[in-house]
Parts: sequence; C-alpha cells; structure tokens
Amino acid sequence: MIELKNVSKVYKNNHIALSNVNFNINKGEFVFLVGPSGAGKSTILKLLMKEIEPTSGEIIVNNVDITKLKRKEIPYYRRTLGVVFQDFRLLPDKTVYENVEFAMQIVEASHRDIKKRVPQVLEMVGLYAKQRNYPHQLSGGEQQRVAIARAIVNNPKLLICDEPTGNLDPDTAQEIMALIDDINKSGTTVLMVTHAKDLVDKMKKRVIAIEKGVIVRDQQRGVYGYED
Amino acid sequence: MRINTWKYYIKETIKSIYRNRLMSLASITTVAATIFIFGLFMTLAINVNRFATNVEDMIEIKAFLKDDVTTLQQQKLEKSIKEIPGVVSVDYESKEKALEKFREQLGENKDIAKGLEESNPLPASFIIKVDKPESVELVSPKIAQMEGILKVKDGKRTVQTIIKLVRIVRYSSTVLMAILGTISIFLISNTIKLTVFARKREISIMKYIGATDWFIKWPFILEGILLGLIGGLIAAFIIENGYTYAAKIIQQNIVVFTLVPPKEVVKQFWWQFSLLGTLIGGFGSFISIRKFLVV
Repeated sequence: MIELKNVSKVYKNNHIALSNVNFNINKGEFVFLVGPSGAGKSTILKLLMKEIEPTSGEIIVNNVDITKLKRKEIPYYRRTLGVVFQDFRLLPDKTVYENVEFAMQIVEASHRDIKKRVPQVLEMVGLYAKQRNYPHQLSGGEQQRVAIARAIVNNPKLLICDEPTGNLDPDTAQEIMALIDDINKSGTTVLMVTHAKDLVDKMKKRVIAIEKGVIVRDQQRGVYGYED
Repeated sequence: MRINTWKYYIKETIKSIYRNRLMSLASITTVAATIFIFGLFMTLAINVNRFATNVEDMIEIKAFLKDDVTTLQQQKLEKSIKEIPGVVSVDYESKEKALEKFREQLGENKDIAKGLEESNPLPASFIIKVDKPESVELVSPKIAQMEGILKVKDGKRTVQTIIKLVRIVRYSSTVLMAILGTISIFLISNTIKLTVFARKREISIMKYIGATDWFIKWPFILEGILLGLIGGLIAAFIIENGYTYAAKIIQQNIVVFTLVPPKEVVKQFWWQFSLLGTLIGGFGSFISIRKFLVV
C-alpha cells in the first residue's frame, strides 16, 4: 500500500528532516507514527500528501511512485487519500452537511450520489441529527467527527491523520480513536501521527518511531515509548 | 463538466460578489466608467468621421487666373496642375461663367452686377479637386507658384481644423481608454485578490481533498467576468439612452447639424460592450489568480 524507499528530505535551510527512511505499510494496516517534535513525522505526512517533494528516494502508494506524478495528476492522487487534521479544518460558513457535501462536489460527484452518500457517512460518525448545525455550534469531538466524515466520504484507500486527538479531552479522544479504528476495520489503511501515549499503548497497533529523521523502532502491537 | 459543478461555481461566484460587495461595486463602476468613456469617444469619433467625410467632399482649391493669360497658357496651366500628385480633377471657369455665378448668388439683388459685362472684374479660375484633405496643403502652394496664377484660395484652415479635431479625438480617446482600462483591470484583479485571500483556508482544504486547479480557479474567473459584464451592460445602457436622447434634442434644435442616427451607432453597443466588459473582467481575474492563487 505504502512503501518508502531510501527517502531523504533536506529543507532549503539545510535542515535534514529525513535521512534514508524505509518502511512498508500493507493494505488494511493501522500504523502509528510517533516521535518527538521535529523528528520528521510531519515531513512524512506532507510527502504522502504531495505537499512537498523528497530530496531523494521513492514513495510508492497503490503501486504508483508518487514522486513521479505530474502536477495535473496530483488532485486525482489526493482523492485516494482522506486527511484528518488536529485543527479539524472545517469551513465555518458551511453546515455539517455542506462541509461533507463539499468534498463530494470537489470530485464532481453526481447529485444523486451526494444525496445518498452524505447522510450515510454522517450516520456512521454519529452526527446525522446535527447535519444542519454549523461547526461553531459543535463540540471539538463533534467537529472532528465531521472532519472524519469529510475525509472518508469519497471512500479513500488511505486515511492520514495528523494528531487527530491533539485538541480533544481524553474521553473524546478515545471515542475518536474508536471511530478511526472502525473505519480501519472496514478496510481503510490508517496512518496516524500522534502524541497520545495512552491511546497508542491501549490500541496495540503497529508503531513506527522516528527520531531526528531516522526510523528508530518499528514494532507490531507496539507501545508509544516516550514519556511525554 | 457536470451541470452540478457549474451550479456550484455560480453559487460560489454570487456568494463571493455579495461578500465583497463594496469592492465588487467599485469594480463594476470602474468597468462601466471605462466602457462608458470608450463609448462616448466612439460615438464622437463616428460623428466626427461622418462630418469629416461630408466636408471632405466639399473641399476644393480655387486658383484664380491673371487677366492677361492666353488660352494657350491656360491650357498649359491646366495640364501642369493635373500632373501634380493628389489632384483628381481640374475644371476651368471662364470670366463669363464667374459673372453668371455671381449673379446667381446675388439673386434678387442682381441689379448690382448690371453693366459689369463690359469690363468684367471677376477673374477666370480653375476649380481643383484633390483626393484627400491632407493633399490640399501640398497642392495649393505648387499652383500658387505657377506663372499666370493670381491667387489660390483653399479651405486650408477648415481642413486643418477638421484633421486636427479628428486626430485629437482619436489620440485622446486611445490614451484615456488605455488609462481607464488599466485601472479597471487593476481594480478587478484587486477584488479577486481579496476573494482569494478571504477563501485561502477554503482553497487549501479544497486542495487536500483533491480539487483540480481549474475547479478552484473557475469561480474566481467567473466572478471577474460577471463583474465586467455587468459594468459593460451598464455602460451600454447609459450610452444608448444618452445618445438617443442627444440625437433627438439636436435634431429638434439645431437644423444644420444632425448626429448619425442612433440606429446605426448604438445598436451594436450591447454586445460589443458586454464582450469588452467580459474581456476586461476575465483578464483582471486571470492576472490575480496567476499571482495569488498558487494551486
């Protein structure tokens, strides 16, 4: 599903963010990416989202080397990903329904498909009843559920989560984690950057730890391993 | 592209115009003003051109002959005048003919000219037509230098004034339009820039979800086009009604001069101005998108 081969990234200020990173994530896996701030976690996510380009190496997603994608092909590649951020990134002047609908409009889905799929996804994240609310009328956890609904509405093969529980209280964080786990169980590969020690330890999923741009640990049914 | 997508574009465009209504209004106003002035000069140019063409037909050089010129000399003169570049025709008017004309002009007062037959004071002359008004300046000094020519009269002053007027109208309208056109393109691009900034977050989210560049760009281009189009239509409306009204007033009050009929002039303005507004608006937003929307 995802394969990084000798990936290095040196930023313009000569900061080495990643050096010779190799890992493999299979279809249907749930992987935590952990490590201290500035270790290179965000760089990996940005590379996967084609926000930045690696200095060297290959990144293969769904059998395609995405470092070789043409500019025009990037949007179509991104449609195969779902992305969830720490700060939700919802559109404040759109309702819950419209925020999710928006993701389908962008990929030019038909009106019929939108009408069928959006309520389905809202039901799944448990926000069907609040579909007419605006983001500011929702709690943090609810907003993140909307963001997750938006991320999965186009049936992505891979869900990328950048500290999805970072702004949430522990109970809510656990609920969000359970929701993402459900999504994973229905077949979507999940790659999550997180600092939520308790949750990582509890979930017993694969953990890849990175420090100073180098992979220091990759274990199945792993633990968080840091004291922060 | 799906109809659904276009619905989305149009919705976004209208929402955005409403959100930045003050800037949108300013853009529409400048586009309208630009095109209005363009239209004003265009109607003026059409009328001056028409007027100039009418006057051009009337332009002639009159070269009076000295009384002692013989028939042979007169024929020679006629031949050499014809050879001057720019001369179209040369007609000879004898002393007798001149007197006859003079009488005709006097009309009821023709008695004044009685007895002039014996010692006709009116000189014979050549009436010379030239190909274009500008030729008058070249032709008439050459004739004046010829042996046997008493005096040359031409509508030089009138001609020069008309030529100058046409030039001034043409140049000033071009300059003014260039300036105003630049201002309106700048204002439109500024309006679009504000829209882009206002929607920065939305655009970045759109990119993550996988929106294509053109999906993101279209609403902005449509916004520019729509603002330009509205401006163009407003200008066309004002010019058409203003011109029709002016033509009516002039026809009623000034008999000698009439405007080119509105039917010939302003009927085309609707689509011409709409197109012009669309182009200005489209171009303005295109600049802005290229500069500020890095997708």
